[in-house]
Amino acid sequence: MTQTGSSDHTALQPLLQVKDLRTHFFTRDGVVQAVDGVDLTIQHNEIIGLVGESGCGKSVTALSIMRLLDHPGRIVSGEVTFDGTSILDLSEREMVDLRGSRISMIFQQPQSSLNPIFSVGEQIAEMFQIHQGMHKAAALDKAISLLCEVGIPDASTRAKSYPHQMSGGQAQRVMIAIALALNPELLIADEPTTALDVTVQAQILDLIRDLSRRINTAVLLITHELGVIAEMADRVAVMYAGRILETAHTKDLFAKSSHPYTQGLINSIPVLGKVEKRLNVIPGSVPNLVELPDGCRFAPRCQARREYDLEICNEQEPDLVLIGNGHKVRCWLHQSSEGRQVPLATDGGNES
Amino acid sequence: MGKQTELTADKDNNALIQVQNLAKYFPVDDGRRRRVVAWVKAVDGISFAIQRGKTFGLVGESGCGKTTAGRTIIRLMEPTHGTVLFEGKDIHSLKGQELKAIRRDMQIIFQDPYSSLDPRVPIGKSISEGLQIHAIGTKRERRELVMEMLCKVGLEPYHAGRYPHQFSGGQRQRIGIARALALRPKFIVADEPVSALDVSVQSQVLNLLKDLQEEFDLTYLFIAHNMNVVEHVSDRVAVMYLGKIVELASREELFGRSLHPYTQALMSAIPIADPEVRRERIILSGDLPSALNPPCGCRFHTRCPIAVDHCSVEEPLLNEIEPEHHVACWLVN
Amino acid sequence: MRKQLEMTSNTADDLSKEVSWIRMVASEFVRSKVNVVALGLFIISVLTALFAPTVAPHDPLSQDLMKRLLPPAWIGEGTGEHILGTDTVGRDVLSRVVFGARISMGIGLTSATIAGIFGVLMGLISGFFGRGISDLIMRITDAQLSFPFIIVAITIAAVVGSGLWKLIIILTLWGWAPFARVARSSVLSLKEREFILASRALGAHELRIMFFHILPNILSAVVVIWTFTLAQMILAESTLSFLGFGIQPPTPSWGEMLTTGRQYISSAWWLSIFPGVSIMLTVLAVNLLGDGLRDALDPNLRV
Repeated sequence: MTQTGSSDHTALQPLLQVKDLRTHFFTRDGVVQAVDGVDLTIQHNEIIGLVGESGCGKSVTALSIMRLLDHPGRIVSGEVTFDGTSILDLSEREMVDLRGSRISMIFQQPQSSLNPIFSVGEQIAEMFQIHQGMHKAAALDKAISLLCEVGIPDASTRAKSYPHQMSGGQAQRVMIAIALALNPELLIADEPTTALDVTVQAQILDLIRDLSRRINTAVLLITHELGVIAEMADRVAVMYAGRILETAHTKDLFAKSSHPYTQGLINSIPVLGKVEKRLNVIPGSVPNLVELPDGCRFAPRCQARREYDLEICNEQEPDLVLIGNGHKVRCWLHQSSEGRQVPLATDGGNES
Repeated sequence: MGKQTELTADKDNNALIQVQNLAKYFPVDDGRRRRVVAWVKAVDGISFAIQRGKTFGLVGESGCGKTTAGRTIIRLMEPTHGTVLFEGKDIHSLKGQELKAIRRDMQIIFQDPYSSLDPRVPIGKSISEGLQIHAIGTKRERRELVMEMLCKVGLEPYHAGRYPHQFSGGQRQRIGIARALALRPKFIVADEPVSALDVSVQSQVLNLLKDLQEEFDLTYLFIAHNMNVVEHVSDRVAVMYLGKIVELASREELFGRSLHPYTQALMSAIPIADPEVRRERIILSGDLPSALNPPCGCRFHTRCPIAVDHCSVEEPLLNEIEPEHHVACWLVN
Repeated sequence: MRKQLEMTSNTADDLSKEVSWIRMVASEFVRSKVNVVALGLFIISVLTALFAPTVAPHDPLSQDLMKRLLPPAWIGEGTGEHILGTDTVGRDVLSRVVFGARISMGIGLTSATIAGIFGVLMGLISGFFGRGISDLIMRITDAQLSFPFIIVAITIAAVVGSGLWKLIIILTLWGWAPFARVARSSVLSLKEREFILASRALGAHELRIMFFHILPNILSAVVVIWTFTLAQMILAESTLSFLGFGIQPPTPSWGEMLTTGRQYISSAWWLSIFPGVSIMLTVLAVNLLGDGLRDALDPNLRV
């Protein structure tokens, strides 16, 4: 039950293992428990999706792995093991060497992640200059070939452009080029397509998937959109209020989602071609991370709890338990061995 | 080829709102702020009608002009040309008291719940601002109405004295809705009202908008970039691309059998929350061209997967291909 | 940082406590002891100026040639009657410093406030209305900010003569430009905000938008500039009086006292040191107050 990772990868040591990670922010209003006991395993070459609403701690998890937290945020406890080495024990110097070369990250706002006073070619070339000590001319040549690879037409000219001359989609391609320049083993993509238009989003997702497969990079894809997860990820972890509530292979998560929160999320999205009079909703809003509820963090909004009238949900927090092949869920409805199924919470969903 | 309907498209005398050949150009000056060197044609001749009590969806990517269209329709901006008839009255010819009076009937809900409320004003005051401007009711009556509106949108009466920063995004959006509804308008422009909200809160707000529509017999212009959200709320839908409407039809028609390649691409681009479904994707190449310098001919031809030579030469008009189904494409007949 | 703040403040539970904006700023302000001390000093200066006749032990103008150049009480011939000593014609230095506060604070507060009101109005007009007026006002502020103030002030004073109200007008004309600039830039950024559009959609008149929505939102920035301007005004008044273009003797003002005391700096240092220390402490307090206010208001400027 404590064994993380799915059975088909047991032969391999996982690429990244996060154990009981706790990252808190010490603000004047109190301690914000942004990430509070997260376990996450990423195998080589897999795309893992981390999904949740804003403020659930998914971005903070990523920043903790990269060790890019700013004051007042601090990793309070936990282990992050990357390819056998404990990241949290590395010196800042060693961490700098690791970032960009072995783990890299792309962000939601590509234009603000690029430096406005250097051309995009120079910014890509910088990666080779810093990490591989290449000469500028050679580095620029490599940058141009990378730009080609990420699908920027007329790369040798575009390499001389500055970030403001590029559209959001192109800037994100440049960010991907920078992130993947040194063939890192892990790419963390934090809402990479949220700021982009739908038609461009599809292009960027395809690019991330194809490139990561080609250069054998594992991807931690952070998003609030289940649709993106469904199309991209091999495995999914659902986060809520600093905790992982459910994790499973993508197919299982959508076919037999077991946590009421996951079910609520899936059911609240309007589906194209299936018009309903009313949408299913999750009532209420995300809890305050300073004063969290005692029991299950989702209990105050949980419809299943109300239906089954479970007292324990408000008193004690359930563990993340295995209920199927690599499928784990943190819910009292599944704490017993037989794994009771919760009926979908419906709300008068007749076709119109 | 269907009959030419550029100007008369969708003409209907029972419509609450009739938009006719509406255009809004923004000047681009030369940096020294003196000479206009070019025009951004944000909205370039769109026509449609919205029936009373119905929701008209306006969908497109960022920069296609949908927000400008929405704001021009309720006269938050002056159009470059074209007319908007509200119950038969040309709202852009109104002045002074007449204009002020018609503002009561048309309201707007914004996308960003953070910038749409004045941070220095308690929300109760924001909600009653319209009542105050139009001198409706006594102070006491206004306060009661604010309480009533708060309850209608799912907040509590005691919230009235609180400031915007004390509310979550979803709650602020509810406050924005209450403010828009306080004057009991007939028509509401909902400009991406759920795009900035969390998934679980989006559906709450969409349901609320639907309930209020029934209760107050509201007519919506629903602006969005999400095809699935638009399908959920709209009765009729128009798809915009670079300032033009490329397809306009009833919801069933548009989502059942879309005819314009751009509409098809938009729909296929939406990630489906079901890993079992693997569709043949139409992935458009490139980005949206600049509205400053739109491609000649059909504006979509640079990204169109099925474009032919003629598309770059002449611009297709919005034709009624089938009853109530208008498409602007040379390849659709 | 912003993200984290949102996480804590955007939740429903937060509504259990009602926090008014002013209280938030106040609690932020008093967190620093320096701020509290500065505020205390400032209040003391204002009260001294207000109640000068009560606070001052003597009439600042009454001369007593028998008691010329008495040193402060704790030195040699000093007496308890004249704690800070007397000047060349036997007037009480303490009383003159107290009444000097009246002139310095009075002129400073009046001209900073008038400059503030005028400047903000100009800024609102220039931010709100068309390019013609806006450009004109901004060019005037450019010109204003590029003139060496002291030289201009001396020229004006030389032409029109000096006097209390003339001094206030000169200072006001010099000090309004920063208000106008800040007000204008705030208006320009606020004008595009959606709550302004929403108000317009409700049928609000431009004037209502200007005074009901825009003005309250730029007020915090204006208050900060006001404090810094006040400090500059106090210094400027002293400078002008020191140079003889400000308040004319025998009316006591800190600058004027410095001028007369200057000649006796080696023999009767108390004539110039006490008004000098008063200027320093007041200006320091006002500047610190401005700093404190700016910091206290800052988190709220992310409106």
